[in-house]
Amino acid sequence: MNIIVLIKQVVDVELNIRVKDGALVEDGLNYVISSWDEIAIETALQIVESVGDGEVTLVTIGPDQAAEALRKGLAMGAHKAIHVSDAGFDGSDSFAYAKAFAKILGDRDCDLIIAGKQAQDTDAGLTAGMLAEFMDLPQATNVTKLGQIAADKLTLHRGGDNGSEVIELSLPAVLTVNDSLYEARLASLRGIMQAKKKPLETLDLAGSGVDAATVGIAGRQTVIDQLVEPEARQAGQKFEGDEEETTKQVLDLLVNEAKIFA
Amino acid sequence: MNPILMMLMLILSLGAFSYFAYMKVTILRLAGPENRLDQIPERIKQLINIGFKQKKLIGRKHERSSGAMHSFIFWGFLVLGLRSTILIGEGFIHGFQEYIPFLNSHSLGGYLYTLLKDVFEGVVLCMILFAFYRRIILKPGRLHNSFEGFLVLAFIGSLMLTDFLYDGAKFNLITIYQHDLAYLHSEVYGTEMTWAPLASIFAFLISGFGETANWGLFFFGYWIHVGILLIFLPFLPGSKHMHVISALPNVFLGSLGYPHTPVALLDCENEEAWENESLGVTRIEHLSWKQVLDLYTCTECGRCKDVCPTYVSYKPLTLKDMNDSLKHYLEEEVQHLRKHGKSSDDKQLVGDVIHPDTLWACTTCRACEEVCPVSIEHVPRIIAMRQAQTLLYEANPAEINTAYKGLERNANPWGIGYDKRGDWAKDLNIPLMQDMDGKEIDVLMWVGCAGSFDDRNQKVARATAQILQKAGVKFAILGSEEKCTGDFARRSGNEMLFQMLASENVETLNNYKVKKIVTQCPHCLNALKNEYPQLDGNYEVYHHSQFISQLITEKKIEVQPEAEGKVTFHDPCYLGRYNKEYDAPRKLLDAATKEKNVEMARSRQEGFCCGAGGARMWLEETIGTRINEERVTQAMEAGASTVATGCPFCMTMISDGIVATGNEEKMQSKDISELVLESLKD
Repeated sequence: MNIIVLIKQVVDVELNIRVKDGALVEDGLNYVISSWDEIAIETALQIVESVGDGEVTLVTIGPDQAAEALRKGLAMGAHKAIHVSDAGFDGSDSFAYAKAFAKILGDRDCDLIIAGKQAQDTDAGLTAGMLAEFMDLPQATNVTKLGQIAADKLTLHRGGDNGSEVIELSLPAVLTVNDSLYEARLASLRGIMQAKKKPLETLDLAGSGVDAATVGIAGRQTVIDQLVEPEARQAGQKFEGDEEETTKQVLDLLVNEAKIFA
Repeated sequence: MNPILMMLMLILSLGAFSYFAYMKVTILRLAGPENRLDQIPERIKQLINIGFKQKKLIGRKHERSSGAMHSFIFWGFLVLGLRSTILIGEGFIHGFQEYIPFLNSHSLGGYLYTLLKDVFEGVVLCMILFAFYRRIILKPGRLHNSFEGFLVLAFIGSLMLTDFLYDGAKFNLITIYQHDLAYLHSEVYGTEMTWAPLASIFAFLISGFGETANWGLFFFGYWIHVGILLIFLPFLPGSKHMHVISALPNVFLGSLGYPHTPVALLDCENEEAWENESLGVTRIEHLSWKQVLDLYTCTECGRCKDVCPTYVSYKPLTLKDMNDSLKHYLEEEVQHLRKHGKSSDDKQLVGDVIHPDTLWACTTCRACEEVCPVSIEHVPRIIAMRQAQTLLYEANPAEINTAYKGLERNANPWGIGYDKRGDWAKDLNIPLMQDMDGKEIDVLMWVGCAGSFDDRNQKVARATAQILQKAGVKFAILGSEEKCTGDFARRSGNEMLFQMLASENVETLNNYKVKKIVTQCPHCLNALKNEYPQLDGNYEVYHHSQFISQLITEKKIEVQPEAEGKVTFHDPCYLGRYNKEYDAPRKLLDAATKEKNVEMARSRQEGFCCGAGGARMWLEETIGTRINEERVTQAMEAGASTVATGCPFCMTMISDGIVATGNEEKMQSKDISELVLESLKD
């Protein structure tokens, strides 16, 4: 079973994200693998380990530093990685990335393509879905549990708003995974040492075979209008003392200040 | 007496002893290397204090009686060793003692020694009787009664009795029956009999048996005494009483200065070590020769078990048993080891010999090492085994991985954004090192992860900073440039992560040319002070209790007792046993509290761990009872209404323990800096 995992390197969202003049302040930021993509890597490794053969290939489109994310994924246990890096991708949106991935993955032999259900930075959750459409593959999004794995089909659970669906999917297919599926393993020291020797292929736009007109500003379908910092949340109000008294106060504030019935 | 018989016995005994001892030495030579022959004068001092003065036995408040018992038997051995040599000499030469300078009939020394020997034989005999009473009637929990234990007691007791019989019969044969036997006598000092009151009492008791019986007892006493002695000798190397031979060397070779050798700075990327699976300890032969000597020196006295917080809370770790398991496994593997230079693959060291739950139960509190009378170093070998589990096999408890990930990404175990590390100090006007532009500071305040991110411990960091400010100390913090010191990563065997964090911290500190550091976290203190020198980070590091108490001495701040109620101090292991500071925090409490402070039954050197050391802070405590609740119960028993601490982990554990035992109405936990701040005069 050969699996391709799409990963994205994102800003560590634990950090203070600052915006200045409509742009992200990069100073002091750290970049990590988007956490759902870590689950995707874990899922791929679990499947390959349980089937007992196959390879996990990581693919990312991103700047030079995204290679770190790939190395980390290799250290977790993935077998090889493809890094597509070119300034021509700057300004791409999910649509453009999906197109590009379709091109890059088009003639590669694989049984499964797995990605996180969304990326931790934009939270869009569109790329993998569109990719499945462009590649004309079946897909299951927000996978919460895996069932039986066979050479040509897979059963799985996917979470929805009103419960979960159990689906049988023919392979090859595209999956996006939820974080309840697995806990991502840590890159071990052995893994880190081995990762240095694993193949990491770097491609530029030309090398990747992607048409320059389909990516970057030229290929995008959406435009970021403005980038602003969310307002800091106001501190809550604490009511202490007699229950009857405070209940009245709270109700009064809810009705007259917050105007919840207005 | 009988030179031929004596020669035969000596040859047999010494021959057998040499053979058994040699076999043991060859095992030591199969083990790993370690340098323990440096700083000889310091080692001699250690030998005198712990060895000859029996500091860990008679010097312990708990168990003073059994400590005294052992000490007197030990001192008895020293005194009576000479007597035994004289008796063996007597086997060859009639009147042997007359040929020894200063011990013959013409020297006062001979008579004084006779008196000393006589008294000590009596004392040792009493101690042996007490030992029997203790083992049979009192049955202390830490001991398990073995045949060997009783046999050795019987041996020693018989040695004393037979010597008394021999002396008593000899005295009778000389004084009553006028036989020409060798004894000390001179005109100046009188006779041996007058210098041996106890032997004379024995003489009186057997005087009525008649001449033949006295001859019989004379020979019986002599040959049985010498016989037991010569059987005892070769018996030692193969038994737990090996300590009679190896305890003093083991104490001499024990770690100096810092309580034990710092954790080895592993070369984590050494390909060969990976291939041989020899990062840390994975096989019994990876123990150093000193660690093997530790195994053999253990007398199974069980003091380590008695003081271990994991034993008290019903966890599978008892250090004594761990030592025993390792020793027996080594014995099993000796043949294979000799033949192939390595142990067999029949058993996994961790898994089959030592259960993983046992290995991971340890809080590295060092209580076991502090009480061990023969200086056995338990913690380093536990950490070395954990290193292999974590680095080579990724077999560390999974729940710690989240904390590791936090360290990797944001240099703190919670994984909170590293850029928020200085946020606690935002309203306090504490300068950051990066804004100092090379301006001199008195001291760098090292805040630590808990002080930076944990709500409760932020208050401690604030209190400490405010005291420094009131004292007019010029200090700064590193803010977002500070990273976890890596202490818990190291204790859990993740040497890679420790080295990564430590070398980054050392680089930052050295760039700013930091010389002096104050920290309110003893784990940070220990890493910065004792472990960073391994990575070229050399600083003068103080715990905040030490620094603040200095400020009081220098009259930079004035304290007026404010704190109400009874306060007790809970000694953090990494401040006390690791860094030998017990007085500074108590001095602060004395200054800040109105009532006299109370001590818990287990305090100072024998302080009881809160349960969070050795990376246990980040592991679930699923086996047995909870250590922190046990500690809170101890504080309640001491009658304290406030538990003062000086460690963020202790603070968390004690606070949780107070809530869990339902004592939040009756008890609170405070850091010493908070108590001082409340008592500060303006």
